[in-house]
Amino acid sequence: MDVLKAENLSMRYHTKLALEHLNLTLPEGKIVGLLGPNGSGKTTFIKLAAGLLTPTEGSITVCGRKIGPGSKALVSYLPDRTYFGRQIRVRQQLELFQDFYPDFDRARAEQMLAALGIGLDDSFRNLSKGTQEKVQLVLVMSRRARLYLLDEPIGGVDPAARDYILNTILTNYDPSATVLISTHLISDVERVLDEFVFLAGGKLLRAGNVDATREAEGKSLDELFREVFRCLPNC
Amino acid sequence: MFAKLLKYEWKATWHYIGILCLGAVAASLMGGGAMRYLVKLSEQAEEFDGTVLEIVSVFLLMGAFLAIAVCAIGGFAVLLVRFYRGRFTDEGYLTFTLPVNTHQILLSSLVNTLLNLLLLTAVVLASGMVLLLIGISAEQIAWEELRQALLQIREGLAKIFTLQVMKILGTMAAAGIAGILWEIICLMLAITLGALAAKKHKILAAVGFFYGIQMAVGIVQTGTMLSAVVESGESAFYRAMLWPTVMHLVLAAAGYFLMWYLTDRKLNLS
Repeated sequence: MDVLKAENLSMRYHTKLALEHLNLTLPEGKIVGLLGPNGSGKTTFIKLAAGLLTPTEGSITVCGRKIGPGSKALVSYLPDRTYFGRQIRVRQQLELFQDFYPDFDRARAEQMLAALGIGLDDSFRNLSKGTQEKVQLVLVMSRRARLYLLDEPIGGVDPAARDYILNTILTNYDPSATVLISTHLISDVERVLDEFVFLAGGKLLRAGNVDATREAEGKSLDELFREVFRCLPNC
Repeated sequence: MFAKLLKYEWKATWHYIGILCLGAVAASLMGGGAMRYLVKLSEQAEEFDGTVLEIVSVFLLMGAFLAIAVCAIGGFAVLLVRFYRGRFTDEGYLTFTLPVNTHQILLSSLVNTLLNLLLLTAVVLASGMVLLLIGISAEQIAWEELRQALLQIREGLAKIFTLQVMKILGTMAAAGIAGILWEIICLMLAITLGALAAKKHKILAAVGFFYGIQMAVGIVQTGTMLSAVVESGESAFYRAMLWPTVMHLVLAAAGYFLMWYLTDRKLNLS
């Protein structure tokens, strides 16, 4: 069964076309890299799947459901920024996730937070940006979702934190679920990816299996990315 | 899910509203004390000779009224800031990815705002009453006379409150409720328009939208009231009261659905 299906998907911001007639299908049980340079439409695509944007044209479904409360219950979304209120405590955020998402595993979340040395009574006002990002990742990965949408999860963090984030994703996602990771830091994520999607200028440039492509092309995904996007203008 | 949203909306604002309510009560006690001192002074037929204590009491009394008013306005501002931050800043990334629909998100804000305003209004009115009661308690109250006076007032009101008067009061109350509902939705709509239309200075844009909408509605409303004044008579009174009520209810419904459409279809948090 296809976890995510986009058909003829277009998104326009005023005069700028961010996505253009995109057709994409994500199977279940895969870790997929959504790769492309800045402004290629990665965040727009993820926001459309998360229900934060409404497409100008075309459709997008999650496990056959149109985007809405039903699809949002199946999607665990990590945005490229933190969304916690400054007055909120970690415990309150856990309660919110527990209240709204029946698939939220609170025990697992508490265990991961304890391993990071983050107290449940810590206020987000007193946590550094990096720690807030880790709490957000813990919350997102503690859900037993069908689709994880991770927008730039390793962007702007140090290499040690990148390893922590990728290991958290690998050790916590349900193998029957699909993980879509958007990034332009290919070399860091390459080892965890099953599939890849190259986006450029809002269009699907190339997609496929990482291992098969590596074997066929005789180069790493990072090298292929550099080769493909070097040829394009404005990259 | 709506009840859960409402719970989190309430949790996000109750401590601010609680502090403001406590502030209003404290101000009423302080002002009541100052008023009591001044009343006692006048009862003893002492002249106001400008001692430091008398001047401080006058300023405390004025300050208390001001503080109560600030608490009321501050509470309203807290609720509007909550609406903006929870929907159109980074917090919106969580709000709009919860498994709820846009109606539930908007209605939870609206209901929470109305509940908090109701609470705030009750506390502010009670604070004002407490202030006055503490103040006048300095005078010797003849409780029997007061009871008789209240009884007379009740009998008098029973005569005054004929069906006709009740109808007028009911019409005016309905007009007031519709007006308040419209004002709240208008403010929320202005915030939504400002947040979605402006790339920078969203709050400034929201203020602009609010005054723009208010001006347009005000022109139509003034025209209606003027025509009623020119016509005069009982039916004109009802028309003058009923028309704004209907207009405010229609505007509130239209404003809500416009806000829903913009939030549901045109939301762009970046």
